[in-house]
Amino acid sequence: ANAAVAASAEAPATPRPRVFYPRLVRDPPPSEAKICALFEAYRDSAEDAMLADGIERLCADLGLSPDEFKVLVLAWRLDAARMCRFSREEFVGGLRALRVDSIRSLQSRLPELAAETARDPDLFKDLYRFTFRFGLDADAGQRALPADMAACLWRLVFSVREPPILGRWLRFLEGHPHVRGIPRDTWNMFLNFAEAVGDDLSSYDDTEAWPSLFDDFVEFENDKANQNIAKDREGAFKETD
Amino acid sequence: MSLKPKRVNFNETWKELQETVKCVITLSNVPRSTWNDRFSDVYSLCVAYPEPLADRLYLETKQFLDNHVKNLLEKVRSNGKANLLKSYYQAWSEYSLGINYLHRLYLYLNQQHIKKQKLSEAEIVYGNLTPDTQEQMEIGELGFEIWKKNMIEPLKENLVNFLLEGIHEDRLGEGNPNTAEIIKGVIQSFVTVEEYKKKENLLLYQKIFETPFLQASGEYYKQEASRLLQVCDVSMYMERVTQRLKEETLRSQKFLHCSSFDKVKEKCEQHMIADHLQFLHGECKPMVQQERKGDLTYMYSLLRSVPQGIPLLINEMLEHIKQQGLQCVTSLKGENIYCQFVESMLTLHKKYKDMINDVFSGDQSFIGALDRACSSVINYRINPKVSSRSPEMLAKYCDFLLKKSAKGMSEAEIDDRLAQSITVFKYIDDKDVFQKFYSRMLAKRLIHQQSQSMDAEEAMINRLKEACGYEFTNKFQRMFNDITVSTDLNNKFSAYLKSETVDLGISFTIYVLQAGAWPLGQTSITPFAVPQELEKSVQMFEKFYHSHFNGRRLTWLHHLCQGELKLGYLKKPYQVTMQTFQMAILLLFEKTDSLNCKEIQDTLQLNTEQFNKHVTSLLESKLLHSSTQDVTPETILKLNLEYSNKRTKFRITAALQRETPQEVEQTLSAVDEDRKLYLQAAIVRIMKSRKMLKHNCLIQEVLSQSKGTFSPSISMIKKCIEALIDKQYIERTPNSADEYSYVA
Repeated sequence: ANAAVAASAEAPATPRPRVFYPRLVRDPPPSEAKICALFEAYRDSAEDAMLADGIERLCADLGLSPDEFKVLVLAWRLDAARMCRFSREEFVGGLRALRVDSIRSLQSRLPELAAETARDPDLFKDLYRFTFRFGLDADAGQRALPADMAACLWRLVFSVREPPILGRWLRFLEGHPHVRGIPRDTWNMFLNFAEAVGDDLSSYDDTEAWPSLFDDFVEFENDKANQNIAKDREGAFKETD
Repeated sequence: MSLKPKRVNFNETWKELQETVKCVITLSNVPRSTWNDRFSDVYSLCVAYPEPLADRLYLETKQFLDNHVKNLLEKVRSNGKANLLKSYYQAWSEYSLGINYLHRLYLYLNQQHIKKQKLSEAEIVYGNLTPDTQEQMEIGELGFEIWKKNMIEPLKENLVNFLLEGIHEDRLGEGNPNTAEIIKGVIQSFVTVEEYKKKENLLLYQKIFETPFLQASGEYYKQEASRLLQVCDVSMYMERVTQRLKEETLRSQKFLHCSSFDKVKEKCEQHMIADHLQFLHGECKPMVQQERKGDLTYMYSLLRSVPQGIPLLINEMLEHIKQQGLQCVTSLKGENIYCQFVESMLTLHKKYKDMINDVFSGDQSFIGALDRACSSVINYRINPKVSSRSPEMLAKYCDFLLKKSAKGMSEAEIDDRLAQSITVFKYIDDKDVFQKFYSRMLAKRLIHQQSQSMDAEEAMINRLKEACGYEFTNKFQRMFNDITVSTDLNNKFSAYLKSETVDLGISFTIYVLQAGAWPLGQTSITPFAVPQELEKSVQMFEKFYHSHFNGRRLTWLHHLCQGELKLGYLKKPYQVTMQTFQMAILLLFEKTDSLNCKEIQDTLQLNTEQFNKHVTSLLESKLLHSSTQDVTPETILKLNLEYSNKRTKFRITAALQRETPQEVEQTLSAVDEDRKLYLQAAIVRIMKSRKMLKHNCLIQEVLSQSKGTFSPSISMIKKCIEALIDKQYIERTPNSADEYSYVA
């Protein structure tokens, strides 16, 4: 019998690290009513949730573009299950936890949160892993991110603290259309990979437990580098001729 | 004579006793009665009254022997230095014998007086006490001790020099046969005088003789080696050295104590082989490449005796066999490349196996090298990214032998070659690829009745089972059984028809094949309207079968069936064997001589691909003519009424049964799929039992589990691990990217 075929349910999300924000002045507790009113203002007419249109308006009011890092941080803090949709529960609960209840307070809180996330590796890792789940089209039963979507999300999540290898990695994916999906493990491990190699692929060891896509990437890059060297040599010969 | 203790006058008794002692030690004549009297005198002295006089007797005897040996020394010396060895040997021969007798004369003293105060063996061996020098010794031992002190000590340097000189002359072949005995005797005396000791009884021999001897031998062979190297090439050098070693072994046996044999041999080997290892090693490569068996025989026996000698030679052999093999496999070309491949591998293997047996006395390390070389040749990849074609070629080779096509060979010869092909099989890494190909070819042979003999088929399956296990040949066995069981089934079916009084109108046989065992893809299944002529057979068989085996489902594989058709419209009657689809097409011409393709296809409902294939084959056989070059629905097919063939019985199925490149491709990709499943199952099994495992340990475990059937690439294992992470059978252990844990 082969044990290798079966589908299983989504893994339970790892518990979010608890973070405490030291504050000099204690804000008054947020008003539940105000948060609800805020939700109502952007809520979809048919569904009890904020959809693409509502979120776009919210971003505009916050003075942000929807594809900004801060918006991703907001989605993460709201623990949004998917893109372009904040449910009432997510929005109200999230804002309460952030202790904000107005556009102004949220607007002042977001840059702070974004900066802190960019600074703290644990927080960033949490955001990074959230981004994968956030990007999956759960209705379509996706298990892996389509490569183009993954590329967009990588650009977005790394718009702060961009790792030096990112550019080459994204170009590699673009040049290899047969790489269709990025599975969760590859997504998660890319953060480790980017930290481990920095800008220098010579330290990469393919006997370690890296996902095989990284092996392919490094091999491709090394081949390219070798060809360049060969070309340089040829060039040098021609010049001396 | 009374044994009662009595008063004894010591001086008187000793005086008499001393005379006899003198005679005994010089081997002069002693009458029996005198001997007996003196024997009792020793007794009387030992038990004398009022005081036993044993100690005094001991002291006097010691003093006597001391003087005696001193006198002997003078005598030996006085014979001149040149005769030293000879006179020493004479003195020793007499003395050692005499002292033995004397020992017996003093039996009572030895047994009753001295033995009692001696330390036990255990005390000497295990105790820390150093034996007291003042301790009394038995008379024999005392005699040797005195000899050692008074004779050997003063003479030892001269003695040893003469001994070394004598042996040296023997080495040069100038030894005098008479002195050989003397030399051996003198050397033996060094051993004998201490033999009685319970501990370190070779110390004297080793100290005064063996050490200088080994030193001198070492010097000698060092010079001998460099002398030989100047005048000899390597072959002659090895021959000489081998001879020298042999001679020296004989010489050791001639002169030395057996404890020295190995030491001398080691010394020779050190100076003549180990010291020149670089030279010898340097000669190995050309010797191996030119396969100089005589030289290699010498080289092997020389190198084997020194540490670090052999591995290089083994390696050279390995490389050489590998090079020969690769040259062979990369230069294969032509039609029957698979025959050439297998047979040249077998020739290579046999050649070097024989050589190893002859030259290297079948040494297991060389057999191991042969194995490694063969395995790397057989699994060699011309292009590292494309797997080796050897499994496929071996399967084809077996197919070739098992098919009726193997003409001009006797059954015994075929059987022998099949048995030998197992040798190649054992070296194949990708046994699963072989299995897939073999299974497809076996299926074709069995279904199309192409097997030369069912006995040969079964024997081959058994050989593979023996080499690779029951699981490996399970499907082959089941296929084979299906065919054998079908004979019985057909008999039952005809009996059934008889009892039902049904006439099918044709003769009909069938094979019932188990779906799981046969590699019959579903790809070529096409809709098919069974011709009227065959319909009854199909129906009756289904009825019969379902009445016998309730609940089994039959799928008709018409594309694998064949039939015989009699052609009665030509000048001669012909009997043609063809596939069912070909037959179905031809049967439509029963009432007409021409039909268009669309009509035929509509009637038979075949899919276009199958239809075109079979029409084309009929056109090629010239049984039909077509109105157009290509086959289109509008093409009109006409019966060729002018058809003629030299043979009246023939078959037109061959073209359709040939293996196509697509099939090879399909087989290989099927293997790939199986491997992925196999690896994933292995990973899950391993992780289930180990719960947590480092990446590299997991890879190693998987490799060792799959070693028997194939050698997976690391990247394939990695992809399987990823697939299992994705399916959540395993996950990375939190906080360690290099470790996996099993998800229960």
